[in-house]
Amino acid sequence: MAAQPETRVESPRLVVDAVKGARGDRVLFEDLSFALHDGQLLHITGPNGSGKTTLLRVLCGLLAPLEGVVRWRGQDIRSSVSRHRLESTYVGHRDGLKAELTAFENLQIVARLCGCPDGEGIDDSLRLLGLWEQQDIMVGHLSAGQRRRLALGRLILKPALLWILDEPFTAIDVAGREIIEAQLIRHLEDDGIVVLTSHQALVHSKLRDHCVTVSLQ
Amino acid sequence: MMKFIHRFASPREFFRISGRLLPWLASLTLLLMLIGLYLGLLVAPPDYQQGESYRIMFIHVPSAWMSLFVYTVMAGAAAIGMIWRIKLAHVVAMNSAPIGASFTFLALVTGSLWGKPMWGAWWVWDARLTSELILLFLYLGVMALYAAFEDRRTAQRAAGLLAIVGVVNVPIIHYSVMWWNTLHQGPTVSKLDAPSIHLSMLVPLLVMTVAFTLFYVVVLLMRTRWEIIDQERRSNWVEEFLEQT
Amino acid sequence: MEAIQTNAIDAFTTIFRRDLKLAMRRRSELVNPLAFFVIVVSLFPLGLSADSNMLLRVAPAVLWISALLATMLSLESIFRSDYEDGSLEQLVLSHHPLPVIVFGKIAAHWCTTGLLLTLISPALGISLAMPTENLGILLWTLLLGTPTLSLIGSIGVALTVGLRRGGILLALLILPLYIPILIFGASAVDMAMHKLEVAGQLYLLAALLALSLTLAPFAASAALRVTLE
Repeated sequence: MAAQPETRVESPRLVVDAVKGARGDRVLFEDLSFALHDGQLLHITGPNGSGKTTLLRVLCGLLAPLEGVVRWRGQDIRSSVSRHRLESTYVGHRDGLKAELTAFENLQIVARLCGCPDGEGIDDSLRLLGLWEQQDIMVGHLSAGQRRRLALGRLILKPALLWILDEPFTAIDVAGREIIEAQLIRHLEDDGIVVLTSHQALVHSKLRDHCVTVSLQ
Repeated sequence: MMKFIHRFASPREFFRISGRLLPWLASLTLLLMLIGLYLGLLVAPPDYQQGESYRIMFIHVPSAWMSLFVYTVMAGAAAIGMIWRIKLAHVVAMNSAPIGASFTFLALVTGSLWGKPMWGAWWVWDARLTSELILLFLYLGVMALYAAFEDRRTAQRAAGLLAIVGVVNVPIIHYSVMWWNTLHQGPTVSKLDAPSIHLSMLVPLLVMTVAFTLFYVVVLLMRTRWEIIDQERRSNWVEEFLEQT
Repeated sequence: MEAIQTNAIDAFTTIFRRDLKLAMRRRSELVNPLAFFVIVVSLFPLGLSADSNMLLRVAPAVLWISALLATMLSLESIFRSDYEDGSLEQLVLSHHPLPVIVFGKIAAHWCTTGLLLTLISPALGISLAMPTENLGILLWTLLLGTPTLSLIGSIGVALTVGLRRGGILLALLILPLYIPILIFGASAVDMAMHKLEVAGQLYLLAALLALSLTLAPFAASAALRVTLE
């Protein structure tokens, strides 16, 4: 874990304190602690089965840690749920899209559930994601990479401070990768926080400037 | 108070205390069962209507009571485990299920044995027996759900939740079955609602009920201890314990 | 606080309309339970006899049990596909109260199964030689009973959705809990056919509906949080 720059005075936004996670009887990580400030990107690395996804699910509150706490704005995310939910967006390795709905309809549901106004936001995201032409195609007929991009649309639609992304670059081509990286950079420059897992190293220099790393064994 | 509960609920403390209690409880259970059976089978007089066959009541009635009691304990323990996140409570809940199911099964078998001379058939859709059968289904559901998950924590909480849902439904099911029974068959001769049960029959019945309850406690303690050993097999105190024995 | 409450109603309607739309697009999900209902009911005359007196006697039980089984087989659609494509995670993580979302899904499930089963039941009643004046009570009992089946069923699906083969297990968990509804529903129809007063059963069915309306969405939400871990 990289050292925090000493000039920071405000308390960290996201604190992970002595967290333990396991799958079945097998302990994946134990006594894991780190803290993230606004504008930081956390890259979680590690081989397959090292618990990257488990850690992400702990961070977004789907999974209770066996020991330890995760704090958001100083409060345990298991006890004060709504603030953390409102301010974070999780994109898991399953896209969370309905194959029988069109790209547009899928984003419409995302928009309604996060309480953002319909219409413009969806159009903008479709354009940003390079899916404007495909908006009326059933998601079941889109390619894996297009679906992945569409899944990331929820990041643009929901104004969340914390992004938690499980392998966001999987199945995505070079153009798609550039689009996503641009979004990540914009988010970090707006003082957002990103936590992601990725097998590939982050190549973009601006991303690397914001990046800290946690390696799981 | 909570501190004390948490201390006792720590696997290690539980293991230590239950280990001391077990031999005493087991002997007491055996003693009470022998007394109950002696009083019930040899001392109590034959029934003026049913002759000797009524004596199966001394097994049937306590098992039927236990089947409900254990279900309630199971749901209660599951609720405690969910609310206060006490591991031990989940273990108690899940280990109660097979014991309760066995009591239910015993109540069904003895009920049908008892029914044969009374009704002339092994099985009659009597309200009590039917409720007991449904209770067995509820137990089997909890056990099947517990067995279906690979992760023990998920299994405990999912099956515990089902037990809680079940316990809300048990009275509803019971009364609807009673109602259904009176509707279709007219009131049947009830076995226990005799105006007053003679003291010489009541005493062995009560002794047997206490013995059955203790039997449940003993088996539950034993099963819980095995599971604790299994769950904590990587911790130091278990290794020390295993080396000593 | 007020803003969040109106949001919860929005969340309900969003989920409700989404699930209705999905059911419309997957026609089979709408049609299959109905077809199952019709086929099972038509097995009974074939297995018993076409004698109308005999059919009349078993009609309430046959109709109710078939409706119950048809509902049970359709239950997985409440959560299964959402679980598989990851939508369920997103719903659980949304800032809306989970019971509201779950309730929206249950309501949509009832509209696409229980309600339709209820609507075609008079035709099947006629096929089992039921007199037309008793079809009304059949409709009423199913109208009051099938929502309870969806509500209780949602708990079972929520508990088994993470398992690869939940089907038979689901039946084992849910059918015992369906027994009171079967008893009151079928007996109401039966007694109405014997010209007896059935208001009591209807009240009891309504009471069971009220009870499950208040408890089931919470239980199903708790179950989802456990099984999604």
